[in-house]
Amino acid sequence: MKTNKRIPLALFVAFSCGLFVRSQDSSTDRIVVPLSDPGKPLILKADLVNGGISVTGYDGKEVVVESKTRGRRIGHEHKAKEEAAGMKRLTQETSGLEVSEEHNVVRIDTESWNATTDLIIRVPVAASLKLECVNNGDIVVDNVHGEIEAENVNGSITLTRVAGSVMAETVNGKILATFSRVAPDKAMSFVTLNGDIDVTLPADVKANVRIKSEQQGDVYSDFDIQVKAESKKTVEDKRKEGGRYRVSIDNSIFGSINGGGPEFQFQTFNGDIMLRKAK
Amino acid sequence: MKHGFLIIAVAALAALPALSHERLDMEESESLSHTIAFSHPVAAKTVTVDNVFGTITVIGQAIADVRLEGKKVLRAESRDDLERAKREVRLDIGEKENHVCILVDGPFRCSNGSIHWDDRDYVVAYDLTLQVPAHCDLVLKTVNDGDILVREVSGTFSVHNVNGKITMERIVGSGRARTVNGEVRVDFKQNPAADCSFSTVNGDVQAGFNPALSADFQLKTFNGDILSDFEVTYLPRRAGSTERENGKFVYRSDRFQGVRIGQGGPQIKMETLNGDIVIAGHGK
Repeated sequence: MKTNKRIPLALFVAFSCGLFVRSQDSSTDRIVVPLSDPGKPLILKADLVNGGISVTGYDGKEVVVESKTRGRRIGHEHKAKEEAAGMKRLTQETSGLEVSEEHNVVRIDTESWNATTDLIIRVPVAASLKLECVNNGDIVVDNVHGEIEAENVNGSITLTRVAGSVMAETVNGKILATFSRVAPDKAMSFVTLNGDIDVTLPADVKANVRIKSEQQGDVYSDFDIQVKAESKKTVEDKRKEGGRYRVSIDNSIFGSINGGGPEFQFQTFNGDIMLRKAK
Repeated sequence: MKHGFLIIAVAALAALPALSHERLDMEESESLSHTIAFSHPVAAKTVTVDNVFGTITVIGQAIADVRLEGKKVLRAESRDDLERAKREVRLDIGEKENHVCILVDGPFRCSNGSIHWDDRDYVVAYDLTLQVPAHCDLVLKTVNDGDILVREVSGTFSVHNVNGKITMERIVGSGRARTVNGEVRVDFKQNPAADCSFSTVNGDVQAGFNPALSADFQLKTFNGDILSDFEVTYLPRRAGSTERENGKFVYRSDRFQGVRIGQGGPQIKMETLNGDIVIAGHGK
């Protein structure tokens, strides 16, 4: 009898899951964007106020954009008086997704300031990205070759199997980047305020590095960094105009890897910095 | 952000007539009363009221003709303007092929029937109350200084206001009701059997139904909640629109939230920019 009782329960669970999936469907918007020039690299620009962005390079010629709202409107978390009076409040799961493409530049716009929206994007591997997030989401990029600019505020940045150059900046969150190849002459920057920075570079990378972890953070490196002896000192003399004489010392570690190259900056306020050599 | 500009633009539009009233010191009013018969009392009937300034009230009764009671208020800057208003603005009342048409006519009326209101030195407002046959199609329009109220009428309806609310009580039938500044409230005595559309820009949109409701809703509010007395299931997202203009590809997703009540049925579209959307159930 015990087992018999479980079957309806299992059915009920399966049924509820089915309903859940259906309601998820209503929150998803999907569009396949053809490129003007499918053979050429593209530029993708997307920014969100609430939500995360995930971009994956794939073996295709079109950009596939999917938006999913998390079904909750910002600023409506409190119980409305009508709800107390017995009415149900329905969610608007519309993301307000708008996508445009012109000369291989794809722009993505949403109403994420009103409803937390996640963007799941697939692009041809040769793509440059400009991604911006603010709240409730991370930036995740995988298998993209190009110039990647990723800016977050309250969330992390994770870049795997990327090739080219990266400018990554966040405030509260860690930065992780794994390169399969780096552009030979492009400067790069990895900056956060609260979080670790973990970057894996090809063994033969040539760079001048500037590394700074301001509070108790440690710096680890697989690479032999030729550290320059003195830190940079800036003198500001305004005494002639009745001002101050000010010396500021940048206590960054300045050095070079494999004889030096373009400048790579690694900076955190609270966190460790790890430079790894790809195996 | 572009919605913000829209709100400001609409608010500015709404403020214009209110400002122009302040300097209209001369005022005169008269009441009016007409009974209009239909040519075929047993056939389908339509009543059109096309007003510019003033209210429209329509009550369904067990009668075969249209009984119009109204008040005309003229306001002007000077005696001359008042006399000019009397000459220029009139109420046209006619009946043709079972269609009663009551239209405020004046120089502001364009040849295609639309209204172009440039800054005149007078305002002529009509507050119109009609008793109509209980089964009757309605076309009602006003622009300023007036709410529209419809009660106990059965038939199709097309109700348009701009600066005022729309209230429809104990309605049988289907149609659309649209205003800009004001709430839309439609209460059905029998659940609609055909598609309906209710919209405003600034105000709530509320529709009341019987408990045995079966319909598909398309709902959208920019600043507000969507509330329902009924259990709903969420419908899959409808396809957005794609276009290519001068080589630029643009995709826009559908902004409406689709929900099904009961087994689904006619499509009820409810839309506002600043306000709540309420699907109310009688006795709930």
